[in-house]
Amino acid sequence: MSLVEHFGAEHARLAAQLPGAGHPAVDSVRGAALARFRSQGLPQTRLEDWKYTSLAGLEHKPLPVAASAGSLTAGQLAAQAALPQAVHRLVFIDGHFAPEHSFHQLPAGALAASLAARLAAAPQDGLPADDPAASALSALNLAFSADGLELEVAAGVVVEQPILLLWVGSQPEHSTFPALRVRLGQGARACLVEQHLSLHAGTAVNTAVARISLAGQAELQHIKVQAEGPRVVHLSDCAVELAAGARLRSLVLALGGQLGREDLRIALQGRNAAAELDGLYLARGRRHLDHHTTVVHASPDCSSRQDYRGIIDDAARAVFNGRVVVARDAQHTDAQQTNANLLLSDAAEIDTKPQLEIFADDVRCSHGATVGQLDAAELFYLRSRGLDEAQARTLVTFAFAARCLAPVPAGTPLHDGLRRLLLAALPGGEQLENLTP
Amino acid sequence: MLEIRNLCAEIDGKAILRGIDLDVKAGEVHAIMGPNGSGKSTLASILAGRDGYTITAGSVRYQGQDLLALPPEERARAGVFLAFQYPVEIPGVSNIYLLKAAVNARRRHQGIPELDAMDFLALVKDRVRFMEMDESMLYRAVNEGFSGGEKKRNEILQMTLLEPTLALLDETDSGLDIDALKVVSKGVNSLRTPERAMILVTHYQRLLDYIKPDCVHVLAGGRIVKSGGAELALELERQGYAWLGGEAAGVAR
Repeated sequence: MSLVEHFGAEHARLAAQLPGAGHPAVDSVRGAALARFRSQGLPQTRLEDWKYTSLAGLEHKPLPVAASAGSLTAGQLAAQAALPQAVHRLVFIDGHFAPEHSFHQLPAGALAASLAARLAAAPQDGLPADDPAASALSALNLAFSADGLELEVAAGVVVEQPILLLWVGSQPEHSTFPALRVRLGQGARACLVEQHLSLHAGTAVNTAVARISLAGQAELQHIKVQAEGPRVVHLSDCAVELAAGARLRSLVLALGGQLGREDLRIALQGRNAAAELDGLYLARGRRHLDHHTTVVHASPDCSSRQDYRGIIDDAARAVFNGRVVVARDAQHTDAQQTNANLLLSDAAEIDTKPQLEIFADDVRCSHGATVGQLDAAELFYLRSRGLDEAQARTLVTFAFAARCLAPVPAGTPLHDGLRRLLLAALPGGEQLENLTP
Repeated sequence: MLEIRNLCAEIDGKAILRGIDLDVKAGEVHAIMGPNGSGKSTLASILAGRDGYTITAGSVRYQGQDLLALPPEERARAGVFLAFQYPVEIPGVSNIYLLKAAVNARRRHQGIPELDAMDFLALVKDRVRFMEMDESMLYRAVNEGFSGGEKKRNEILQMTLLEPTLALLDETDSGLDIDALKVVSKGVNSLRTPERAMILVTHYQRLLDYIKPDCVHVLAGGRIVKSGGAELALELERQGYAWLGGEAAGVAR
């Protein structure tokens, strides 16, 4: 059975149980999405955007869809969460909302709802339509959309504390399809920390979709941590629309998984919108991590800054493709992009490519990519203070990686939490833990 | 403590040191002066174990050991400390983190127990006050965004914590205003004991007003061309390097 047939059969098995099933506003969207996946199938390496990342391995092992949540203990969550003391925490297990592990104190005007609950209560509101610009994986996610988070922050409302959103994989041998929708009203402000983690060491495929919309002057800090288990395939598509004066600060940390693909698509639609995208991918062992960013400057006077860093060790491989599109009317665009890579072994590989498509004439666009090794002066300085070579290498690697945390205020629990995750994921990082002040 | 015999070294085939002979005994402070390009900083770097130099002849013995055979971290643990001319910035790594790692690496080597967090903090705060630094610098990334003077103070702070047996100070006075120079000198002088030796590499006599050397050597063209007492530095200050004639003057031009 091919993968397309497998998911056709899974859909036939599950469609009637999916929340909101039976209502035309829901069924039609899921049906159309399935049809698109059926006609396109998994992205193939003959597509330019998938040239370096093959999903052929998925064909051989079709995994059933996780129809319900597995169980876990509070201790397992606390041990791995980026923010152990979160004030607002929403937990989804195998894609399904886990109210027993979730809590929040969101202010009036901020609403966090489970998609399943909302579909059950108001199926007539339907599902958002499939986005044909996204890969067929997004259509597959939508065809099976059972649950996820819908976060709405009304105009002028500020959520002070970070909202921690945990996507936990608890059962191996499953496919999961988490969905995230975020809408910030005019001038609203929030910080959302999304973390994907696995409590098993088995195979799984996690196909995630996020749709974020920021109204005028809204500000969102969106942090995504991919900390999946060593045999998990993580496929993600996140699209963000920014209206005039809106600001997005995005940080993507890809620290785990066997194969990870992150599509991040930003549309700067109103004047003076600004997007700052930071990313770090840490590829070790035989891990494969692919980051594709697309920033579309559709309006004048917008700015975007991208700083992606990669650490590639052992026989791992990474891909960075940074596409910037400046529309003809988008004068006074300021778009910067950098991609710095550390190659720590002879067998490690990076494919990095900037892709600028500029149709306006009064713009400032820059890009730069570097591939290098650890800085010899830094290594000598540390060794001259008595640190052994392995420790010095880890520290210098950490120093390179930690720069991506700059947009998170130092000294906050969030900064400390992310730093800890970063250290734990680095080669040799465990020996540095006891040195933390 | 330190015996350098006929040390010759080159970088990329270019001879930098051409036969250095130097003996430094415990308790002594030696100043190495000389014009730019004479090889002073190279000598300090080679003693600390920096890569990139080829030793073509000679030997260096430190406390009876073959110093050149040791990797830099083992030299550090054995008590050799280099205060860098250009301290390196390590973003993302806090100063206190590095200090603790360095102190405990040395203690492990000496076979004494590592300091726990409380004892270490008390010790480091005491030294920070002594070096007239702000405590907040402990939590900043190593040397990142530090002014020239702050970087040099930070080097001496590390030195006062590590309590080296042989301290090498490479142009520590360069870029310091007079107040910073006094504090740095205070830090260095606090470490002068009969068990310890120091080598000050400097271009100017100014530092030696504050740290009185036992011996002064003039390095030129990769050789020590003149040695003397503290008064030699004053003479150099008055007359420059030209009066030494020959090689020293040639390099100084």
